Amino acid sequence: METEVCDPQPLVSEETEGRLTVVSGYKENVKWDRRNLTEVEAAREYFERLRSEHFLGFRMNRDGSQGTQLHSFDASAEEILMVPPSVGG
Amino acid sequence: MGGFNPAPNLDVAVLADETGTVTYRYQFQYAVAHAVQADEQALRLLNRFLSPEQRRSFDCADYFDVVSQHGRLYRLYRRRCTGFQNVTQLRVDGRLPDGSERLMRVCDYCIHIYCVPRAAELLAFKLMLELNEDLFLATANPTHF
Repeated sequence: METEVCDPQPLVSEETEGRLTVVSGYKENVKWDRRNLTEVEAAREYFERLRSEHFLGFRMNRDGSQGTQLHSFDASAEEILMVPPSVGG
Repeated sequence: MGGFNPAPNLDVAVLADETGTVTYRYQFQYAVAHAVQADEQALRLLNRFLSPEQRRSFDCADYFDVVSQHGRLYRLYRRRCTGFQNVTQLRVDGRLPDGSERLMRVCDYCIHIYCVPRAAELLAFKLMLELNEDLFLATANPTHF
């Protein structure tokens, strides 16, 4: 019998896949395959566009260890979270 | 179509050929549906990055604690405030008779990200505190106690 594992949003589904997630319900998220240069470039362009809108990029690790802030796109990242700009109240 | 737009950041062009009140009504419904979807998506994302203890606290008490990059303790609340107490810095000040830690409020920080669901805002603050606390402190407006 085949068992289906239901995880609606696994952190990384494949070793070669990267994911860019925008921490906001309103922006598009993208995935890329590290072996596919077109997808990598599209993700890089999206990252740079968000950075130009003052979003912060954080590289997150699959093993749950501490992430790091990214100042430029890293195609080897398993997941990048983009955080919208914040303001003091 | 000029005047009031209830959903300026949403793509409602598909309804732009409708007229007057009808357009606004549909825009509002579209915006509400979109907002609910965004809330759910943001909450799922937040839950993925909370530790089991943080998730339990968030579910039961509507807040979770974060130990920052520099080892400080912050509390993030589910509610969205327009004033202070958006994020609170705490310090452990002895123990209570039942053995639990006694926490003292050190400072309240007022910081916002506009036009995103609250869960997205909380995840953003958590990431900033854990990975770039200096930026958080430079942005937030503090009230010390």
